[in-house]
Amino acid sequence: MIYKGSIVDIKTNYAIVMTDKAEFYKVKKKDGVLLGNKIIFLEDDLYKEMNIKVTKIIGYAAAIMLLLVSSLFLIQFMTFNKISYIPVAKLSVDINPSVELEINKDYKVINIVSKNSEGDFIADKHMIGTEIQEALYTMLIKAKSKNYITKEKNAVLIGICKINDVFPDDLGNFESDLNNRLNSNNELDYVNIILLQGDNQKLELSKQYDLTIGKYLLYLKVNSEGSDLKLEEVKKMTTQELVIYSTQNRNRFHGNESEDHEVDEIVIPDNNLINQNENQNQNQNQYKNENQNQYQYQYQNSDALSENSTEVECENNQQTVNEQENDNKTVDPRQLNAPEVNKSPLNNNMMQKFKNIFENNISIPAQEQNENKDRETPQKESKGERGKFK
Amino acid sequence: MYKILLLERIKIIKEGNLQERDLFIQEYIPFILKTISNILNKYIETENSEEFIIGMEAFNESIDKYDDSRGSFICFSSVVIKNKIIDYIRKEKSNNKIMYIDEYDDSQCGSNYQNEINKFNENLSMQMELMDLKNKLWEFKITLDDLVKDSPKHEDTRNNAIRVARFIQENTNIKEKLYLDRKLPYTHIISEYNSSRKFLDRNKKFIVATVLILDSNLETLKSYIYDAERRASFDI
Repeated sequence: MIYKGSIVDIKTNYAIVMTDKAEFYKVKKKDGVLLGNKIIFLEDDLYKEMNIKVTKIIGYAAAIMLLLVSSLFLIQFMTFNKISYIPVAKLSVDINPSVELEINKDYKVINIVSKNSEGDFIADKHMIGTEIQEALYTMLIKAKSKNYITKEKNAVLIGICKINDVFPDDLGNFESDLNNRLNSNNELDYVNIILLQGDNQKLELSKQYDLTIGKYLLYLKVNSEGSDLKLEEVKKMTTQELVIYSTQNRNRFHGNESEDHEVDEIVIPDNNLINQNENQNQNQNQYKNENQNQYQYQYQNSDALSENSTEVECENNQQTVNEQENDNKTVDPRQLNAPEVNKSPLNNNMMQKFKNIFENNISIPAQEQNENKDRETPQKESKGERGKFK
Repeated sequence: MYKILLLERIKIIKEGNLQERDLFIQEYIPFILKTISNILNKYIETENSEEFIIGMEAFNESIDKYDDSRGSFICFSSVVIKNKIIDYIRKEKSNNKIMYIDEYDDSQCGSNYQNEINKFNENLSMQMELMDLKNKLWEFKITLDDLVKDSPKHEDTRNNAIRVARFIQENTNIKEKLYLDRKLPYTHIISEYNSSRKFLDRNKKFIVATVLILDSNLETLKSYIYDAERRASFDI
């Protein structure tokens, strides 16, 4: 159909035409469209309103696409920058303050909970988002500055429980990294880190028993090594006590049969205590008349304590040593370091006695500690040889 | 079927049937218009459109030259028209030489240019009139877009509306009232013309626009309305 008409108005996209039948139409704009031009046009030339709608739809579609794409980018950006809040593992740190941390797959701290009132002093909400090594390090520094870590109380119990399988098994890297960090700081190189690993089940159990992961794991470890420590007792103990107890316990059952390197691994302060306690045993059994101060200096010959068969010899040795010590309060370093191999396990009687003593006599008298410290620390605190608990 | 018919018709035309040729060309005018306007990308003007005449000639030629072996007739003739039109445009360009004022001589080519000048003036005045109409429509809160949207699509209603408009335009009383109130004086029209209120309400924009056109100096638009009226009265 052919339309004839006159152009009445021109808009940006179309022209309005009045036809010879007094109709009004919109037509497509073409070159040379002038107001008042009489033109012939066909149905093809009619400007379709649909065009506007189509362009609008296209516009909306484009806008939505843009939004989607940008939101995708945004999400990526957010996830790239922000840490994921899915806990992969749970950590507990016991010094005496106890803190529990949750970490995500990137080893970033995502939650910090202090398990006792002292925990608040070393835990800090600002640690959330930092790497776990960093957080632990700052925690240890804090603990040190607040005197929770001293040269005597240097055990730091760390328990790790996997929540998710994503968490890699190689704690070796993690541990060595932390150790390196601590070694680089001269103030913290005597810290003795005890790292224990558990699984999801143990995490649940520890929650059930209201213990921190580290303590619970250590409790399990101690019991697996032959002790019959009770949960109630563990709850009452401080971390340091528990660590000391565990090392003593291990010494009893494993140390006797063990090779040299295991003796090396014994934690320093524990050595003190073990020996003290052992000496106490001896005192009770054999040297009841001896001066209390003297037993401190007898620990060097620890074989003497455990070897029942050679007790008499030891007696003599110790006495001589004691005499030397009384003269000038120095110890022969060779005697300290000497890896004495325990040949026979303690008998039950001894064990029972030791336990009694341990329970009664948990803390070391301050005087003794000071004296021990003077002699002991320079020898066993070489950097690489810090005791490990395995 | 159609193709065979087309070929047969071309065959008949080629044999010398002039009547059939006229009919055939008449039928294909939309096609010619479309091809030309597509090539030029502009509308063909009804008055003195050289391109249209050339297109017609080319189409006529293509009928004679068409051969079965040359593909479809439509394709062939569109190519022929295109070539002719392009030739024409080139010729026009070469003829349109720049003329310096020094060379301008009234006596030599005055009439030729006078035509152009007249056409331009006409166009300008028409444009002014159209702008005036637009402004007047705006006073009645009507835009030309509204007219496209709301003007009656059916021819009978349109003719009825035009009749109402003619009645208003001829009736000075009502017309003055319309201009004064800026709206259709329904009651007067209903009482005097006997039209339904619904009809007036639906087509008020078109009626007002028609009245304004009839009252203006826009001869072309007026002539369109006359045409429509005439067609309606003669029932063509």
